[in-house]
Amino acid sequence: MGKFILQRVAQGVIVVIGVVLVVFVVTRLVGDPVSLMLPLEATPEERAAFEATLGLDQPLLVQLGDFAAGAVRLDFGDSLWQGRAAFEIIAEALPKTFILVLAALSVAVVVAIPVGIYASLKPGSWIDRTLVGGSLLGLSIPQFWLGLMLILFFGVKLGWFPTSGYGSWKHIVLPAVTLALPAIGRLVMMVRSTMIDELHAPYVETSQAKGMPRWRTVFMHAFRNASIPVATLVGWEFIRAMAGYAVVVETVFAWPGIGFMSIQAINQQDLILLQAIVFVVAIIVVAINIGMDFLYMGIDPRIKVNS
Amino acid sequence: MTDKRRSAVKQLFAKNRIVSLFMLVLVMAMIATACSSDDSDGGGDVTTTTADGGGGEGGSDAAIVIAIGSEPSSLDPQIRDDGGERAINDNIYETLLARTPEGELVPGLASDMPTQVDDTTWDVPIRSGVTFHNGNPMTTEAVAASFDRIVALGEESEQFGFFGSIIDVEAVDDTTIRITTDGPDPVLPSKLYWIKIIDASLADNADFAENPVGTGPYVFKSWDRGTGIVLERYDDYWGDTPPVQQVTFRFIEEAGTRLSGVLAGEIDLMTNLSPDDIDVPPQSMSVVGGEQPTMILSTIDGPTADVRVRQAMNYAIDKEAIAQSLYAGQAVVTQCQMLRPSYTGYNDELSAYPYDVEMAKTLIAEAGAEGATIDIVGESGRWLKDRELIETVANYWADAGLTPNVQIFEFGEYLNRLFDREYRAPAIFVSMSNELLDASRTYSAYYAPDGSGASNNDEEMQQWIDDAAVETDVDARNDLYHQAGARACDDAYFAFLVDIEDTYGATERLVWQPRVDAKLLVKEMSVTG
Repeated sequence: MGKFILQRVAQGVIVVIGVVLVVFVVTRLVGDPVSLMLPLEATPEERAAFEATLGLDQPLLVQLGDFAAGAVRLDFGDSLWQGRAAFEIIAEALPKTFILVLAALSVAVVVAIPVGIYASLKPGSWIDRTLVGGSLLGLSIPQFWLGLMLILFFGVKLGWFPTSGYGSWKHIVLPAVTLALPAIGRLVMMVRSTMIDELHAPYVETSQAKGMPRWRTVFMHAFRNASIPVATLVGWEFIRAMAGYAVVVETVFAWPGIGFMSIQAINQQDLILLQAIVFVVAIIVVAINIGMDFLYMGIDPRIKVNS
Repeated sequence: MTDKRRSAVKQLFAKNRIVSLFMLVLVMAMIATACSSDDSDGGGDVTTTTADGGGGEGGSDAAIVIAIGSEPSSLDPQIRDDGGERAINDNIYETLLARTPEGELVPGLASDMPTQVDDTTWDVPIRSGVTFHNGNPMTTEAVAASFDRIVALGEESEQFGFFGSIIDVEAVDDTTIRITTDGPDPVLPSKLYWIKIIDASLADNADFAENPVGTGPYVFKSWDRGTGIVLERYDDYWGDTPPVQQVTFRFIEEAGTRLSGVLAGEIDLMTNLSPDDIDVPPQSMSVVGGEQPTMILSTIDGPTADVRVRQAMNYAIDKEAIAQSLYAGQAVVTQCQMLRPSYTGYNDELSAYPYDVEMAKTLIAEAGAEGATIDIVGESGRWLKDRELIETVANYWADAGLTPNVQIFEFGEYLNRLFDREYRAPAIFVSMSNELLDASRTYSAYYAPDGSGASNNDEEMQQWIDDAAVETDVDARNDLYHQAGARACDDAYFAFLVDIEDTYGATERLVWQPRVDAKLLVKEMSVTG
């Protein structure tokens, strides 16, 4: 067990280092923050002087060494864009994205599991077909468009919710629904198909034959077995949203989360902030993955650690 | 003025009501399944909400909300060159000289216009009775100390180009400061319109960049990172009491979302309304003052080295059609120079090349350049409709018998090519903006052969611009820029296009006249009803 944990953490560290190396090198190869931050009409002398003040005239290896030395202490340096500690910006933005993703996935799970189970009970019926059709629609609607439509309808036309921003509980409803809808679509499909498989397994027929109530078979036995792929998908949805897909929703709704900050960091060519965000998000992704492994063991004790 | 096209957003909403309704039903169904509780009547009754500004019935306690596209990087007014920072700080801090909405320089914190003592020395009379928001008086010593900070910052500041010539500022007496420059600097008055006066005793405080204290009509209240900044009226302001009591700036990057906020009445004024949406908000306003996209043509290499080809490339473009259709009327034709009428150095004797394809074809034939390949260096997404504009221009050149080759680069790579001093591409797209409303920086960068983005080797041009840079006699300096402008127009060093207007969307109640310098001065705004 201990060995297993160590192994997973070691793999995670390698992933994080790899991701950060790639980002570090690529941003410095293609980007030129100096030209972006200064007006186009700036003279070459003004550019050179400014590059020196940012420390970007240092050799790449020196810059990388500085970054690595700081990163282990969560000191990523000062953002070029805002001029304050990159970690401070991340610490402000990350919880906002976390709340949004958590709200969206709660909605998604609460909606998708009953809907998926219900659809699986009578596969091929018109209810099943409608739900499957609805799910396909949900997962294929572009979030950008969906977000604007929800704003226009619930924000502008009905005035129920603010059109954008961050603050009260009302602000979270529209972005959370926008983020949840495609996840609902995928989850319903997944719950439905795994449940159909399980419900046709021999143990279900046996339990039915010995007189177990139908609801007990469905929820206590079939769903328990079906919940591993479902949990995997929920974990994947979480990673997907944290590691990038919340960007679209955060941009449309001006939600000041980590996705919004990463877009700003890219637009402003803020290498320092960008590499700090990538570093932190990579750690979160790895941590969630390791957490999921333990969750599986909790759900299904048959899963053994290979040592 | 604008064609009656309706915007994409409006169309989606008005015509595809079915889609919206379907979305509603879908979402309601899901919420209902999730909560299995109160089903609200999500059906037909559609009501429009009206703005409730939170207490302001016009008059003196009005509160307004302004949506801008980007958050300030910092509220230190002397470090960054950043539109978000300017939008906020223009209301908190002030400058010695100000501009009228039309662009004319007038005294601001100075009590009168500066007077020149000699080539490198200027005296500026300072207004008395002005206080900073913390109660400190704005003495001549305080003004001098404020300048001392930028001199000390030097090239550490992104604004260095806007104050670089100033080497010393001292308080002569209680009413006058004396500014010394490192050489003759005719642009100094324009620079005094740029440099914000701070209480320098606060500049070393750790929170100076997030707790601004100026002399302006609005006092900083709060900054909710990522969301907004609130300012309130300064009761001891030296000027007229502004009608708006409180203003909230919100940062909303997505233009469609800003527009939705205006439609919902949450936002009173939004910047950068897309020209296609000009008819959508209750009120829209525009003024020439935004970006001026231009094609820099190389007189050094390739087919464009022939002046006839370059002239043909100007004749070939229907500028009026670009202004009317691509920018939905929110643009005007550039009059053959990289300046606007309100700028110092503007030559009002120049006019745009008329649209004349036959003339273009004739000139190209004379030059023997039929079918010549013209590489166009461009980028996409940084400026309003940049890629569409580049491709439109390329089509006009193709119609005239050239073979344009549009090359769209990632922005960093685009800049490498724009500033490449070894090889000048035949045509390079650039979007000019001019914060000081003066020819100097623009002409030094793009007209003078040694400029970072220039594509000509006209030695006379270099001489005019070098002379103008140190010519403190206003008329003589103007003459030099007029000559440079006329040469670049006649010999077609550029293909001039259009001046894009700054476009704003607003609620019905907001009363405001947009400014040529794009400043969002809340003291000039008021609300009705």
